[in-house]
Amino acid sequence: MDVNEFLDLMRTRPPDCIRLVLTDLDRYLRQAVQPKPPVVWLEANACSGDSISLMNAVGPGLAQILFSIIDLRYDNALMAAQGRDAVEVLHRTARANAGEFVLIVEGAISTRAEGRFSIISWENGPISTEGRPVTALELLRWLGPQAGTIMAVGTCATHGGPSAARPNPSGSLGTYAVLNDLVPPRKVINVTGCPAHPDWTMGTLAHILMYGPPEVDAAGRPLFLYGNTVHRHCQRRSYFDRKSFASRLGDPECMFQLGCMGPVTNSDCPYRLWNTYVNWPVKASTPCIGCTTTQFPDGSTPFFAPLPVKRPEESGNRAATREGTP
Amino acid sequence: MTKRITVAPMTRVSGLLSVEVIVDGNVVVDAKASGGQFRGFEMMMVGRHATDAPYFTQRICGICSAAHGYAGAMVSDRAYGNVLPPNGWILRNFIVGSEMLQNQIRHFYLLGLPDYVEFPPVPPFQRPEGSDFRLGASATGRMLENYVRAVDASRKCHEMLCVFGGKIPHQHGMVPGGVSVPVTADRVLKCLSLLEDVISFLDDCYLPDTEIIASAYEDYFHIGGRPPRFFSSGLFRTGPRMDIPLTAPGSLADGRLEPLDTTFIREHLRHSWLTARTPDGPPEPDPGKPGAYTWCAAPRYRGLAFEVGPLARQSVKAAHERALNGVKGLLVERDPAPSCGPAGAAFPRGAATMDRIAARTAEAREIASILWDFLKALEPGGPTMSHNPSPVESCVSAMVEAPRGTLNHTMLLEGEQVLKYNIITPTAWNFSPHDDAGNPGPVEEALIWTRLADPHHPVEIGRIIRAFDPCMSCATHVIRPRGMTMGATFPAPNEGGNSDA
Repeated sequence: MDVNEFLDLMRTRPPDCIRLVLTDLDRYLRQAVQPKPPVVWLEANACSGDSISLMNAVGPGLAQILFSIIDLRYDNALMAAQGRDAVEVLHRTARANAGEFVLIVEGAISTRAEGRFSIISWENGPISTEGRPVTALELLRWLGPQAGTIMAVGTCATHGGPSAARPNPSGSLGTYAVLNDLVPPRKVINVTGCPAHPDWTMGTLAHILMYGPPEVDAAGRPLFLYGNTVHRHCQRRSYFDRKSFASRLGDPECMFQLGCMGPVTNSDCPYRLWNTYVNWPVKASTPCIGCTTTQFPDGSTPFFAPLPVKRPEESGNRAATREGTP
Repeated sequence: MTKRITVAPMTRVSGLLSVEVIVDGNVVVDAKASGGQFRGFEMMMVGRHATDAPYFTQRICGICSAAHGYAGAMVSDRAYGNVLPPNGWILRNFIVGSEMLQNQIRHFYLLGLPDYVEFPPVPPFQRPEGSDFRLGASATGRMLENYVRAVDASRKCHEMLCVFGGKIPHQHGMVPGGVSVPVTADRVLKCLSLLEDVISFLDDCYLPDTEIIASAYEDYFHIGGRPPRFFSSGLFRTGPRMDIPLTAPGSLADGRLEPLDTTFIREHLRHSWLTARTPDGPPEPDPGKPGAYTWCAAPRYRGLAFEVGPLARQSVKAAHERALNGVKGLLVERDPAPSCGPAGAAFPRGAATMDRIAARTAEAREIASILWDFLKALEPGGPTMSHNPSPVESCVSAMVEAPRGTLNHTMLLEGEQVLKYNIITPTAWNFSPHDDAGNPGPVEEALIWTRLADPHHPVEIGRIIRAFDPCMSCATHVIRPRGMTMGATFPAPNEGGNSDA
């Protein structure tokens, strides 16, 4: 309603005018105050690869994500504040937005030596005798019960991943394994991948914000992203069906004999493609190494040994024909 | 009277870092950098297959994964005696160089810029009072626009990497034997097109923005100085065995340029949460160790703390150029301007905060031109791979340059199985703690003698530290296993025939 309309209405139909003004005002206030969802990004024992991967996002890109979509309160990689000021932001969010903020965990949680293999902050400094490390383990156990939603992003955060690879010197665990004794139990939505594709991270977050928590598989992963195996949608499936296998990396045939984990790996890489949708491992004539699987990487090495060799329990045939199940 | 200032967490870095300084009056008299994470990739590599090295070790670091993949692929090549076709080694360099550009752009804009430019006070950019921002409204507006452009430009660096790398972070194309993706005109064209966009960004934004920051914060050419001790193994590795650095390697201490000899590398563990149980055994995690304050070990070269990274590479390169011009051994002109050194012993110019930032920018532009030449040198249809069936060497090493400096991978094999794996990262050098004799590491040296304008808002600390581009994910420790040699000697300048194998 512009000024002239408003004056006209005030002269002719004051009650209608007030009702309309209030409606408009209400709509305006909703828009203006409509808060972006507060997000806390907790980086634990990680390589920062899931953060870097998110920076590669397109539609929406990182700038749009930061300025229009989420209220990224705490994020070690991007926030301007540092030290005590950063810690204060974290505490303020946990207090003011309890039950509401989205907690995104990147990296595994070290549990050995009370989590001292993953120190995020210090009370009284790292050198002084009264110094006390604030570990990722402590922060997760404090933030977990207060978060509205918990997302674990990347296979380290979901199931331990490379950070927990044998012999797992830091005693690292996935997010759910650390939180599963909470009362009441907390659901963790898992976005596996090494790293997680930015579309998987943002797609899962969008589902939570727009439609509520997505339907997940037995590993806690959104079915709309992880519902099918790589093998099912692989461009080289016809080679597999004709038993035409690559003998060397770089060959154009099926990568099964070179260690491909596609038959037991749930992800949409063949359709999705990586980095502005230009390529993915099998298109690059290398095997899928199963980075979205719960046992990555120990269940995938030696990377170039055929599946039945590195996973004797999976007969090649059974594994190769099993589809659509987590 | 001394006072302790703790910055924990040090944000806008890769990984987990905390810093503590002791100030006397307003001057920093001691500094300790504490790396907060340990995963133990060297221990994880034991028992795995030799060809797992590139894919496995690149998971050390998400922002410089390809650098670990590059070093891991090179140790595999050396174990199997692979002789790479030209397309193979050129593409390896194209991949690792694209990642460097990505890293340098993200570091300057996403991680560094909020130290110098006032962002709108909305998450994640809210910050407390007390920062001394010096840019006017129009320069600030320009920087914020370029922050958004930088997001796009750095993404494009990863996109061109992905054309031959399959995906990134944690690429697939670099494998033992070469690169798995064939060279075709469409792929080369796509990379040239993306690179042209990136070069435009460098010329229109990154270079002039660096100048704007450097002139508004000119005092930072004197803040964060340290004794100019650098080394570099030279950018990129060329030739079928990838043993010829494209730019000259060397070590530079107090103006003297010398060949880089890795036999002078020693590790110190006194202040690290690491302990060797036996005199020659590998260090093991020891998080309760008294007197220790970081997960980083302290590698020393000839007993001294050396800085690695873009400034080190640029300084070594400049020293070579001077050596070739007959002015051997002089790096930087002594500058009479006061610097943050101990009274009466100011550090020479050329090793302070803004030098680090400017060197990174200048090097990024050079790398972009080199990548262009690499793309032009590719031959469509030529082989990209050559991998031998079984190992011919059991102890192999590769020393390369990652975005943040010199990276060393060493692998000891029994058959095709890894017995020991040793990684020395750039972060281990730059963020090393005090050594056994109590001498600080490079970052700590840069902090000491800094005069804080306002100890309640020590903005200098963040600026000094971030100029080193911290990556604490990379702070895996040094192991010097018995029976392993870490590469060999880099020849002196002008001797030719450079080799690091």
